[in-house]
Amino acid sequence: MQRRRGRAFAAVGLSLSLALVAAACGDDDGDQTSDTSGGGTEATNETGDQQRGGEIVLGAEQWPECVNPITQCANSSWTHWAIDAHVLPKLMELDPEGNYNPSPVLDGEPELSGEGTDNGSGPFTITYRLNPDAVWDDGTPITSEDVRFTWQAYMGTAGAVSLAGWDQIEDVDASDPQTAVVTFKQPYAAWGENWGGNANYLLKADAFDGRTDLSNEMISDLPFSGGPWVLESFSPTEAVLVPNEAYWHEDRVPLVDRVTLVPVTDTETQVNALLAGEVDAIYPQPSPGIVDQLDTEGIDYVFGAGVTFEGMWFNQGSLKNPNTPLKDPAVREALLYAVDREAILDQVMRPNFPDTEMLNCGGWVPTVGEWCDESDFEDVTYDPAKVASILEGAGWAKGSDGVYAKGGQRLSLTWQTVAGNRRREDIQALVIPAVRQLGIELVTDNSDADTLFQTRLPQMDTEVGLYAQTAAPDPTVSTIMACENIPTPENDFSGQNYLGWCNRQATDLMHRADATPDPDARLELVHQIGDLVREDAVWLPFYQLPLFTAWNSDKLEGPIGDTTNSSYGGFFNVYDWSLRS
Amino acid sequence: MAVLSYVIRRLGWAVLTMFAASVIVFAAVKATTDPAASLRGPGIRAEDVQRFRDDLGLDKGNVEQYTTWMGNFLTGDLGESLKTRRPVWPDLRTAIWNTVQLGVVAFAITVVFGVLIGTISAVKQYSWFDNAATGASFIGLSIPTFLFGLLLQIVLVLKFQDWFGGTPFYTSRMNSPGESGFGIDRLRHLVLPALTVAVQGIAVYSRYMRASMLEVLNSDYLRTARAKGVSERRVIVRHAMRNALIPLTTFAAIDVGAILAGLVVTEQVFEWPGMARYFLVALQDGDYVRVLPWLMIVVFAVIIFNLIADLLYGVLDPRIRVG
Repeated sequence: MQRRRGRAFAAVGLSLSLALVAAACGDDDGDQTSDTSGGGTEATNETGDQQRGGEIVLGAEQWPECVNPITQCANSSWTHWAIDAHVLPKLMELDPEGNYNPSPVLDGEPELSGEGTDNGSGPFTITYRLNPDAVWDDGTPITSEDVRFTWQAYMGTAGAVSLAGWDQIEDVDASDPQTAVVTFKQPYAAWGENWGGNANYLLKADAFDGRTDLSNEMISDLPFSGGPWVLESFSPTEAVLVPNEAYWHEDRVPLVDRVTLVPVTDTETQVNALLAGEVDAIYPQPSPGIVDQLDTEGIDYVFGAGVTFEGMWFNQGSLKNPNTPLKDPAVREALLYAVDREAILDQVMRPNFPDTEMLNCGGWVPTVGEWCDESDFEDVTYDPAKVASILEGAGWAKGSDGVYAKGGQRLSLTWQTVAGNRRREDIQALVIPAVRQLGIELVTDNSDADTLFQTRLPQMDTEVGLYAQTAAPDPTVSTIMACENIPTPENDFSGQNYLGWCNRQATDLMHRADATPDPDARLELVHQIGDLVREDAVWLPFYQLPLFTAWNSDKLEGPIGDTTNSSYGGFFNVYDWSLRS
Repeated sequence: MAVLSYVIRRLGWAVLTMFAASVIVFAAVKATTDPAASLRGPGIRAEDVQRFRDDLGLDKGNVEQYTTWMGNFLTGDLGESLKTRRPVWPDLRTAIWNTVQLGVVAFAITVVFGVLIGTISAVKQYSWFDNAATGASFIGLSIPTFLFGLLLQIVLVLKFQDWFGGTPFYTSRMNSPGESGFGIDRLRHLVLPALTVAVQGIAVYSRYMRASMLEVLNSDYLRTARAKGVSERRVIVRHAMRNALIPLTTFAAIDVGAILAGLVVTEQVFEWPGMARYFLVALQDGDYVRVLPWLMIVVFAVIIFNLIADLLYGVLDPRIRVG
């Protein structure tokens, strides 16, 4: 592989290197990764003529501490991206656009029935018909008893991350092995997330001898597979996937013999490992300069729009400043027009990620489902005159220091983000002097990531936040925006509504949307919520954080990068990847 | 008897120190992290977080949580991780062993080169070698560890590949896929992180050794040795170096204890799953069940190696013995 030529660096330790170079060049012809490409046979599938056999090594940016899909380990995206999504089957799957579709386990679309399907109240039942060809890796059929067991396991496991949806189920009828009838206690719109969706799976009933508390199971192994791959081994330093020989869905039969995943958590090291040929593909969070580093022959990369969105979040219920000016709607509205989002994109994002678009949705992203209404914040542009007009119309007047004040209170706000995050600190450096000229004072008050996310946000110790949220395929925003989820000392700081925003009308809409399975009716409700988010100037969306897949194109071929934007990660379709002939 | 009494007294203090450290760290971990607080996202509701807290007993009193942990610890039960439910000891043992491998190799490089460079610098004081070594040691001390590690990756792996068509070194990890155990493959993975750790150590040790040697080289007994016709080589190796090494030996003993805490930056840059990474991940998870045993081992190691340093000083220099 040819490498990018760069400046010659001082050859520190060169003499030591020379002592070992002969051995290295002798044993593998200079290529550190084991050459497993020889002896392959040609195969034809929907991705074209690709070689079968060989091994691929993938670098994982974070490493799952265990592989249990129910417990806290499931709270890490990489548990799913690296392991679980390749091995465990789902009933409903998400396509790269974030839409729910029946997986190969199902024989067609599930049937929704009952009065609650359309109107948000009354009985609600889902009938899943299982594909008769669907089998576990030992050849036994996947049955409705597995569907029933999975529900019981999620409910029975101590320390389960979320019982959302599972606790809404009244019963699962498994009398017909090929048909699972799920009856909900009340209509539940996010039903696609149970047994599938973003982070749930179907489990094999026979694998656990009737135990339903699986908190001490599946720590370092998955004892069954219903996906294209079987987890051969898992350790803190390596995971090995091998093809599931019993997998029935021919479009997803793996082409290579073995996929090894290894942790490479430092971004710079990850890039160097790819350039050195130690790993064949990476799926990192894009960092400034990464494109320049990878812009070399033999390396390909692709960007996806991403599912994570970032912006300025206004905490109206701040305990950092209980009299925060953010309680005044005019202040929040003025901030929307005081921050030059176009400048942020041009000066911070686009130099590294040229395709970054401005985000205008109230709490969703255009690349995940159809929930995003781009007109929500479309009217928001940098407008100093409007800032003055809004503030002065609300009784604020500039003081001798040039900062607005009202009733003896200066328009001064603290601004929290992750210390050391260059992108976010660059944004602060750009925005703070600009808004100061308009009479609004922002004062940085940053913390390390753990302190910000584990302590300060949950305890409402923020005022203006600069951080990201992840857009889940299900559009519910109740947990992060409904009135009952505002953390307070009275409720022992439970809930994730770190905005302190309580709009009863919006909260009612959220509850109705969460209980409206009909997608069209729900979309209408979601858009109404978005309108209220904009009306109340709850936050200011900036952009989506891009995702990124890079790979060794001298070694690999196939539809690599096609799942960059998928909820299942950039490696999800590794079953279609192969070694170059 | 005096030495034995001294050792017993120091070990008694060690137990008290470990207890105090465990209380302080437990309080700090509980005050600044929360395993349940990391549960965030649209699908996770307030009731899920509360149930999670109940299941893991996170809402029990801090005293109860601490005494439960300490009671188990004293009976040799290190418990299970709050997050993964994996037993703590096997992972901790692996982390210790991984750090020991890196630490021993790095330490060996440090001592050998540090002593050698320091000795030559002293013997050839103000020579071009001495000046070069002085300059290099200041660079070694000044350059940030992460930067030096990345430079090594670029030069000894990427550039090396360009220049020679291959490289014996790896950018990261302990073994190639499919490999395990301590063999040639592990050694090839060890070179870069060990050099990264060693470069600062060599800089420090060479300065210590140079200063110590200069002091000894000017002493009367060396002049006497020379006057008696002892060869210069023997004077330096047998008489000067031996005495010059005394302060360095005690300094090194303390360093060895500290190494067990892990090498934070190096382990991160080179994906080395040692003690520092173990600690950082556990702390990030707010998993005090994993953090506290780590702490106990580190504190114990530091105390023991400090004790060894004190004892060694007495052994190496008979003038300083516990009376």
